[in-house]
Amino acid sequence: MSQVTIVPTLSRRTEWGRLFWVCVGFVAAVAITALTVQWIAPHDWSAQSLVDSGQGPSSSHWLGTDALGRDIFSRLLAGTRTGLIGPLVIAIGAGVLGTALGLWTGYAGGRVDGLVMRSIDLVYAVPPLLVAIVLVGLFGGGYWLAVVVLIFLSAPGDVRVVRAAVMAQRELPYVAAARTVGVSPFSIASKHVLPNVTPTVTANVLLQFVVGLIALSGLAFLGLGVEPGSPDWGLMIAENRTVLDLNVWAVAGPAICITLLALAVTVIGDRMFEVLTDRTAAR
Amino acid sequence: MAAAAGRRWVTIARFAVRRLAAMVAILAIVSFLVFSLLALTPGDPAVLLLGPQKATPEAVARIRAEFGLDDPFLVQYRDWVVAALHGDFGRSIRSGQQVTDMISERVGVTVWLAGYAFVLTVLIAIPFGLVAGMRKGRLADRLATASSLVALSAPTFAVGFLLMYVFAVQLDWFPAFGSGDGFLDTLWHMTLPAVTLAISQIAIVLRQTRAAAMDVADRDYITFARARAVPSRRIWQRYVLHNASLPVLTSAGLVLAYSLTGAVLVENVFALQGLGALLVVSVAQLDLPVVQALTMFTALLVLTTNLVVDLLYFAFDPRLRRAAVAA
Amino acid sequence: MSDLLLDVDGLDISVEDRLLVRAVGLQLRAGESVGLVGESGSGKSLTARALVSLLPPGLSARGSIRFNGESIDPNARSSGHRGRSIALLMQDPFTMLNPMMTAGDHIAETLRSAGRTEGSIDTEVARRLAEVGITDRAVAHRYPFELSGGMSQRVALAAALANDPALLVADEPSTALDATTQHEVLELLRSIQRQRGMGLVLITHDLRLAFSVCDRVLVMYAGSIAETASSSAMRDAPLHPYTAGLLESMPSVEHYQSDLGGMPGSVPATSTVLDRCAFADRCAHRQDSCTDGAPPLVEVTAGRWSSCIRSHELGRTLAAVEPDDERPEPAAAADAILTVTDLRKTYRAKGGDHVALGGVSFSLAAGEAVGIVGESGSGKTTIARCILGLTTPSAGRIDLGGIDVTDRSALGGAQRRDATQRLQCVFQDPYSTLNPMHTVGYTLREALAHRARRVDDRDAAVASLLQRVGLASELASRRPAALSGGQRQRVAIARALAMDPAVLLCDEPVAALDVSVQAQVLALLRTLHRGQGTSLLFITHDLGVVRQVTDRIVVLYRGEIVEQGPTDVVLDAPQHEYTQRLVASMPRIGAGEPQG
Repeated sequence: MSQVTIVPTLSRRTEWGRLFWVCVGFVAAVAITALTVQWIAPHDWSAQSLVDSGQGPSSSHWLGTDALGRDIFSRLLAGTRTGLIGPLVIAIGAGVLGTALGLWTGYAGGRVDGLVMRSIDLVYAVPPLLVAIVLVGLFGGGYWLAVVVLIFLSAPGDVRVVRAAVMAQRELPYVAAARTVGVSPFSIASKHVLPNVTPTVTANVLLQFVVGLIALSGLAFLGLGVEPGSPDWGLMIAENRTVLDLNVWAVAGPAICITLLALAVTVIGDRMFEVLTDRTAAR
Repeated sequence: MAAAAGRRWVTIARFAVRRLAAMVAILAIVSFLVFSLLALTPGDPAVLLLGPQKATPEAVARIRAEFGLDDPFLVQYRDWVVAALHGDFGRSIRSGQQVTDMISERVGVTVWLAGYAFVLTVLIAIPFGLVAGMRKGRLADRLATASSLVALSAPTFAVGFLLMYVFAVQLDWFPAFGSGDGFLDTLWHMTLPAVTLAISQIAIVLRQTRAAAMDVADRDYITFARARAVPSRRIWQRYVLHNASLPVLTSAGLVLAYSLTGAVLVENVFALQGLGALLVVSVAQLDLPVVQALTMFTALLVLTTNLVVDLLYFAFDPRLRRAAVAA
Repeated sequence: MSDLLLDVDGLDISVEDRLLVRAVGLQLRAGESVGLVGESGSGKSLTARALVSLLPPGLSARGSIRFNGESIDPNARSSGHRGRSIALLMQDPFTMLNPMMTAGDHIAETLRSAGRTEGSIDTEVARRLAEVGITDRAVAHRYPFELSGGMSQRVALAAALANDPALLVADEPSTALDATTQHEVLELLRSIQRQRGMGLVLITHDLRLAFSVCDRVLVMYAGSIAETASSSAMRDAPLHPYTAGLLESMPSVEHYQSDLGGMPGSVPATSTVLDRCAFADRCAHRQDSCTDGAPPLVEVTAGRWSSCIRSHELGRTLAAVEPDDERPEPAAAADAILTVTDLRKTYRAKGGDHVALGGVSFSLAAGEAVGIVGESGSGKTTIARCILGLTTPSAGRIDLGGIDVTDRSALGGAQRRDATQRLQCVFQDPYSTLNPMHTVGYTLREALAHRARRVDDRDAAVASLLQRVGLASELASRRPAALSGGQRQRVAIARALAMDPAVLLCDEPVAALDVSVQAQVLALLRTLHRGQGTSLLFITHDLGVVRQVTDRIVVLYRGEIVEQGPTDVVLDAPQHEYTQRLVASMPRIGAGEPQG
C-alpha cells in the first residue's frame, strides 16, 4: 500500500556537497600517486638498512622506518598500487557479472532465476572471506588469484541487490506500457530497466570496492595474496606489528591509509546513490 | 483457540522440517565441494598428507592404501562422509592429533570471543540504530551514521592494533595477549578482542537497524498512534522495534554466523588460540583434514543460525504465522 | 464567542522559508461538522495535522489555535490535547494500523492511555467495536491484514474514538475505500458524530461528499481559503470562481454533460502566489486588479466568506446551472472490433485457487465507447491485463479484429505486431506510467518506431502527437519529473496514439488526478472517441466518469458480469441488486438532504 504524501516535494535538488568533493579529491590523489610513485617517492621503498630499523619519524624518514629499515612513507605511497588496482578489478568484475545476472534473473524470472538464487544460497553457506582464505592458502596464494576468487565471491551480492531492484521496476506501468507498444524484452531490460537501477548498481560497485579493499588487506595481513616484501598496506601491518612500540606509524600509517581510502569511497558511493536516485526519481 | 494454536505449532514444525531438509541438502553439496579441495589441491595428495620430507616411495604407497587414495573419488567421498557423520574427520597431518579433539580444545576461546562480541553488538547497535532511524538527520543520527561509516571502513585487524596500542600498551588497562582463566579473568582478557570484533559487527547491524527504523518512522501507524496519545515507551517497543524486527534479526543472525571470519583476524592480532588461528595455521601447513572439518563446522554454524532466525520470524510476525496456517 | 470548540486564526505552515499554508482561519462549535475541501497542494491535510500537533518533521506552524478556549501549540512534540480531546483519523486503512497488533489491541491501548482499569478493558473493547458496527467478537483478535479495508477503517475509527474526544479530525477517511464501503463508513461517521455531539473536521477532495456530510464547508486553494459557507448555500450558489469550477468539473453521476468543465493549468505552489489571487491564472473572470495583491477573505453576505474580489458582481453568473444535456446519438451499429468470450482467469494462491474472472463475455464495436465498471476485486484489471497480453487467461477467447489474441505468446511475429497496432492502453498511475529516465520525445519516438506504417519524420510526428493531446511541442525535451500529473497522462495518451490504434483501453486513466485536471483529460478522451472514431474500452470504478465518456457499460462484480446495457439506462434504472447499491452509494450534488 502506498503511503500518502502530504508534504509537497521540494523542488530543490540534492547537492553533491563539500564532503563528496573532498573524498573525490582524495581518491584522485591516491590514483595519481599510484601512477607516479616511482618518481615521487622520497626513498626506494624496498631499500633495506638494518642500522636504521625501527626508527620513529625524522626529517629524512617522515614516518620513520620498519623492522628492516625501509622508509614507511615511501612504502605507504607505493602501497597505493595494490590498494587501488585489486579492489577496482574486483568491483568492476563483480559489478559486471552481478549486474548482468541480476538483470537477467530479475527480469526473466522463472527457472533460471530459481537456479541462480539457489546457487547463491550455497555460496553464502560459508562466509566469503573464509572461502578466500582457504582457497588462496591452499592453492599457493598470489595477488591475482585472490582478486579472481573475490570477484566470484562478491558477485552473488550484486546479483541479489540488482535482482531486487529490477523486480521492483518490472511491476511498474512504464514497463507494461513498453511491452504493449511492442518493445522487445531485451530492449526493455537494457533501455528501460537498467537506467532506472543505475543508482543501485553504481552504489553497489563502489561498495564492492570497499569490501574488496578490506578483504584483500585482511588476506595480506594473514600472509595470503601479495608477495612477501611487496609494499602493501595490509602486509605492512603484519610485518611491522613487532615494532609497534618502537614506531607506531609503521602500523598506524597503513591502517589509516586503508581506512581513509575505504571511507572516501563509501562516502562517494552513498552520496552518488542519493543524488542519482533524486535525479532519476519518478516525482 | 486452543485448536488454532495447536495447528499453528504443527505448521511451524512442518516449516522447520522443510527448512532442515533444505539445510541438509546444502550441507551435502558443501561437503562435496570441501572434499573436492583435496583432489583439486596441486600436488599428490599422498605427498601432501605425508609432508614433503617423509615422502619416501614406501611411505607414499602406505598412505595411499591407508587413506584409500586409489579408490574411485566417489568412494573416497562416501567413506569420508560416513566417518564425518560419526564425528571422525581423521587426524591432523602435522600433529597426528584427532581433528575433532583439536577443534574441541580450541572452540572455547572462539565461542567466548564471538559470544561476547555478539552481546556487545546487540546491546549497542539495536538501540542506537533505532534512535538514529527515528531521528533521521538529527545529531544522534549523524553521530551514529558517521561512526558506523568509520567502523565499516577500518579493517578489523587495524582496529585491533589501535585498541591494543591505546588500552594495553599505553594505558595498560587490559592485557594485550592471552585468554585468561576463570570467568572474570577471561572477561578481562577477552574485552579488547571482543570489542575489536564487535566494532565491525555493530556497524553492520546499526546500519540495517537504522534503515529499518527509517522505514517505520514514516508510517501512518506511527502518526496514528501518536495522535491517540499512545505512551512513547509503547510506541518504541510495540511499533518501532517490533516492525523493524525482521531486518534487525536478519543482520544480527548474519554477523553471528559470520563471526568466525572476524575471529580469524582478531585471534591473530591478540595471539588467541581459537578456531580462527587454527584455520590460518592449517591452511598455511596444507593440513587438509583440519581445513575440511573447520569449513564444514562453519557451514553448519551459518545454516543453523539462518534456521533459528527464520523460526524467530514466526515469533515476531503474525503475518507469517497466519500464512503458515493457511498453507 | 465562548461557545467555540475550535478557533483557528491566521495559521501559517511553512517548510524552511517556503510558505505552504497561509492565514487559515477556522471556527467550529461543539457538535458542528466542517468540511475542508481542496485538491492536492491546497494545504488541507497539513492544516489537519497542525490541529493535532503532528506536522511532519521539518515543517513548522505559526498562528493561533484555541481549543475550548485553551491555546494549543501546533509545533509541540509531546501530546497535549492530542488524542485526549482531539482525535485524528487518516486516509489509508491498510497503513494506519500496526500490522503487528490485533484490532482489539489498538483499541485497548488507547483505552489504557485514557486511564481505564485493566479489568474493564475487554468488555469496553467489545462495546467500542459494536459502536462502529462490528458485532463479531472474533474481529478483536484479528490482525489488520486479515481485515477488509472497510473493516480496518471501522477499527481505526473505534481506536481513535476510544478516548472520547470532543473533536475528530478525519483526513480523507473514505478515499481509499470502494464506493459502497465508502458510503457505509461515511454514514457511520456522520451518525456517530451526531450521537456523541462531537465536533468533526472532514478533510476531503470531494465537494459532493463534504456537502452530504458537513454543516459547513471551507474550500482551500493553493494554501489559503477561497470560500466558506454552509453546505446548502455553497451548493446552490458558489461565490468563488474556483468553487464553481470544482463543481462543474465533477463528472455528474446523474446526467450527461456536454461541457465537462475543467480549469486550464494546475494548482500553483503557495509560495509563488503570495502577492496575488492564487487562482487568477486559471480564472475565466480574471481582471487586471486580481493580480495587484492577495485578496482578503471577506464576508460577502451573512455567514458567507469569499476571497474573490469580484464575488459581489459574479454571484449570479457562477450559480451552478445544471443543464440536462442531450447525449449525441451514438454512431450507427458497426462490426465488433473486440470480442471477449467466456474469459476465465484463476490465480494459484496459498490455500486454494483464487478465481479472478469466472467467465466474462462482452464485445466492443468499432467507434463505440464501452465502460467496464467495478470495485476492487471485481476482476476489471485482470480483464485489462488479459486483453493487453500481459497475462494469459486460463480459458476463453479474446478476438481482436479477427486475430485470436487469447495467448499472445502463441502468435507469430507479424500477428503480434498487428495486435499491438490495433490496441493500445493508458494506465492509471501518471507517476509511473512514463519511464523517469527518458524524455517525452524519447518515449514517443520509441512508440513510433514500433508502428507498422513507417514514419519518415519522427520529430514532426512527435510534435503532432503532442499537439493532438493539447501539449506544447517544447515538452518533447522534458523528462516526466518536470511535468504535472495531467501532462504525464496526456503524454501517455499520445504514446498510445502513436500506434494509431483502433481501440484505446483506458485503465482508470483519471483516478489519480485532481478533479480539475481529470475533467481536461476526460474531455480529451471524448474528443478522440467522437472526433477520430477511436473505440474506447474504459475501465473505472467511478460512475460519474463512466456516465460522461461511455455509450454502454458492463458492470462487473466478483469476476462476473451482473448487468450490461446502454450507460444512461443502466445508471438511471439499475436492475441488479449490486448495481443499485453502487449507484445509491455515489455522493451527488442534487440529492443531498438539507443539513440541520
